[in-house]
Amino acid sequence: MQTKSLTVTYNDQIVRCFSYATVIWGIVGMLVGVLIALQMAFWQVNVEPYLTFGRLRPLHTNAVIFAFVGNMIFAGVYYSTQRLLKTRMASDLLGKIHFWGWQFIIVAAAITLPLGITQSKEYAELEWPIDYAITFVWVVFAINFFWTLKKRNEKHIYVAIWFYIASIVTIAVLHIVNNLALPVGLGKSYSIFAGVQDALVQWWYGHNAVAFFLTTPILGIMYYFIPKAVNRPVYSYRLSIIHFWALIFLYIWAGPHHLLYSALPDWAQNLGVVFSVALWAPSWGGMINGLLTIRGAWDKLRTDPVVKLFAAAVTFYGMSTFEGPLLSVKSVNALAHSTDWIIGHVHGGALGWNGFMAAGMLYWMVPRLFGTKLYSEKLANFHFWIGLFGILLYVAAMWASGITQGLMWRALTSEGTLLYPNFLEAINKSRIMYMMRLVGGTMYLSAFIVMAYNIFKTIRSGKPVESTVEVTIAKEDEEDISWKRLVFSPTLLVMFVGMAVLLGFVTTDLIHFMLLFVVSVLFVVACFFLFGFKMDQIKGHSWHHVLEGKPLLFTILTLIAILIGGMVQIIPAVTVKDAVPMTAVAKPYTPLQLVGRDIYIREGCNNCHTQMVRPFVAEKLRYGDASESWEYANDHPHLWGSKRTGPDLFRLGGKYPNSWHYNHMIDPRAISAGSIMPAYAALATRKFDPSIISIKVKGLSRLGVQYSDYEIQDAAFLAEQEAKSIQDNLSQDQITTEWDTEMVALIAYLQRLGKHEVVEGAK
Amino acid sequence: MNILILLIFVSIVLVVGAVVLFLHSVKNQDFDHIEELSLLPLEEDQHADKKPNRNL
Repeated sequence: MQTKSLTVTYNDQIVRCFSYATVIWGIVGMLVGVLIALQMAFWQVNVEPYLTFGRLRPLHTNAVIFAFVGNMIFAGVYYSTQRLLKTRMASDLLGKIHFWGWQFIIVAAAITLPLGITQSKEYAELEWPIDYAITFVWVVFAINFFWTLKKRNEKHIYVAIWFYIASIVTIAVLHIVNNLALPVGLGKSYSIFAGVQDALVQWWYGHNAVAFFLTTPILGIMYYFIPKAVNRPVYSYRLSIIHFWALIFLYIWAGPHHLLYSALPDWAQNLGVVFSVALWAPSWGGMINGLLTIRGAWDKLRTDPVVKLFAAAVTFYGMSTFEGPLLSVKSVNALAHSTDWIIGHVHGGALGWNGFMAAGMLYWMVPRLFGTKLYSEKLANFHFWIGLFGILLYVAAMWASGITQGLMWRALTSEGTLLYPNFLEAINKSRIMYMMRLVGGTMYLSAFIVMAYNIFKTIRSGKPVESTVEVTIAKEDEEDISWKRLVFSPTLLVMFVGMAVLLGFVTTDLIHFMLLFVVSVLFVVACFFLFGFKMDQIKGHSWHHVLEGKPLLFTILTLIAILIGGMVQIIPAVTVKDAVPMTAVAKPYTPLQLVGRDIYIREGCNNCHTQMVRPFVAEKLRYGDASESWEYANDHPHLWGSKRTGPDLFRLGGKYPNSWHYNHMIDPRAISAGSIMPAYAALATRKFDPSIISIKVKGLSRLGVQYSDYEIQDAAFLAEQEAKSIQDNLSQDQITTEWDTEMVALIAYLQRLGKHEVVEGAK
Repeated sequence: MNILILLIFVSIVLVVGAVVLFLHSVKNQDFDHIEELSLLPLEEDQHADKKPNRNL
């Protein structure tokens, strides 16, 4: 074996920058969270137009996911990647562009979202110019990362790096596909997908934003920082191999579990359920691997706040990844979907897993970046306990609230009518839980501010240091195995044939199924045998060991693994007509209804109201007939929503007169006693711009919505005609308003909901 | 009733598969590189030399 030594100085300045940003944006994101929790408990806190719940909720989710966790991921990735690859990041300049570009995107989000500039897609609300900026910055990050991989001084890439590779590649794919949209103005675009297809793409993205932004990079951080914190190797390297491949392959399929009992076809829903339940196994494999890494150092749980935070974080990961598959079981989902239970589930993961991993990482890393010790372990312990109680209070409140809502919405009398026909009865029962959530969230935020103070004092007590290490590069006497030998080895061949066999499961015959299952298991066993097969005759290295020395091939295989699930679900849904049956063709929205729909999107109404009536007796009694896929065919984007703080609105059209809607917007409580909806009185005076309507109609027509030339050219005139008829109707109820107010347009849209006229003779 | 047959059958096949893999692993002692690579994150601190960065 030949060895040579060289000195490497790591770029820790970039790590310090991302660490500062993590702390600052963490406070901002959680502060907005506390504010919207306050708005749920006390509607009076909504300030129209910029600080209403509908506009602030996306700001909270984006700030916490992309600003707080995003910066934390980059800090962890830059720190660990350099050390695991024994080299400095390839480019300081690209690192700086990445840092400042990402902060610019966050500021852009913080400005545009309260202004109501939104695509309405959950966790992808940012409009197209910012989407381009995200793509650019992500590519810069990817180039720097893969360039560093290329110039590494350690041949084998450790498991943490695999998770970083999967995250970088998958987020790029998800972001580009989900944000495909046609711009119709600087701050407005329409998704190229419509209705069912748009919902499927959105939740393929939405679920995997959780998977590949909030989970896989943090798992990489877990695999690096927990061994460092306890000074012990990871419990099982073999388990980490299974964890990685099984997790990234299965995760991508699970998106449709957000759309159970919706108008999404059953085949896609069932795929989502099966893969979500299967996902439990690799998730817990990773959780066990993380927790058992602390074996032999359990005493540190009493004394070391870093280990305490990591152990709690991994435990929350385990809890969330048990709860996720549970919520994906159809009968559980029927109760839990659109209730506060989902909010509790999400925050168990976000506060427990992401928040505590971030805190543990910062407490461990910052003193080392500044050549000092942590300012106060007592404060760190205080942070842990207050934060933990805060999470438990939050999650318990949301579980109780969510299950109460689910049970009350479905409760029937012995005569078969709704036991709680007024939707607000369930929400009013939740008010006390909303206050409890507010207390829990405030405790967590307070604990986080204590951490910020602790970190600040730690930084003040030291000085930024450059880590310089002596790296020994060992060239082992091993066989040089080409990528061709790896690719054309029996291992990969058996794996791909095995996957093809899975297609045979599209069967209803029991014997056929059992035979296929045996064949599949034989393939899995064969794969494991081949994984252990010695490829390197000199050192006896296995197939996977050799693969770990070839990052490009590793990345390509990762890309294939994450593409399979998405392709199987999305390509048929978008390209094959029979995959999403449409029993009729709906007429497009009128120009005025379209304006109203855009106002609905701008105000974020979809954050509290769903537009999806599920096929349950209680829902039919409360809302009307179950939704059908054809009714959404013109919806660019879909507005199915995911949470019912207010009732479903899909069958709202014609249910109440125009004056009801007008008065309800002016003062919701005057019409619905006990409502927690913000007032939208400003809509009655704010005017829409008729001159841009035809641009919007033309844009939608280019996306396949069937507008005539007359409707495109005279869109403004048609909108005026319709608006004036609504104005006349309102005046009969002694309501005086201008015809071109946003209120009139919104009423036009709300009255259209669920009243989808069929185009006669169309196919 | 079919679901019971199916679940029992699937469980038995999975258990048999797991046992076969376990026995194979024990027989071959194929844990070669596992320990070596899991030590990777613990290496660098042994040589770390931290200097104040005057350019910052």
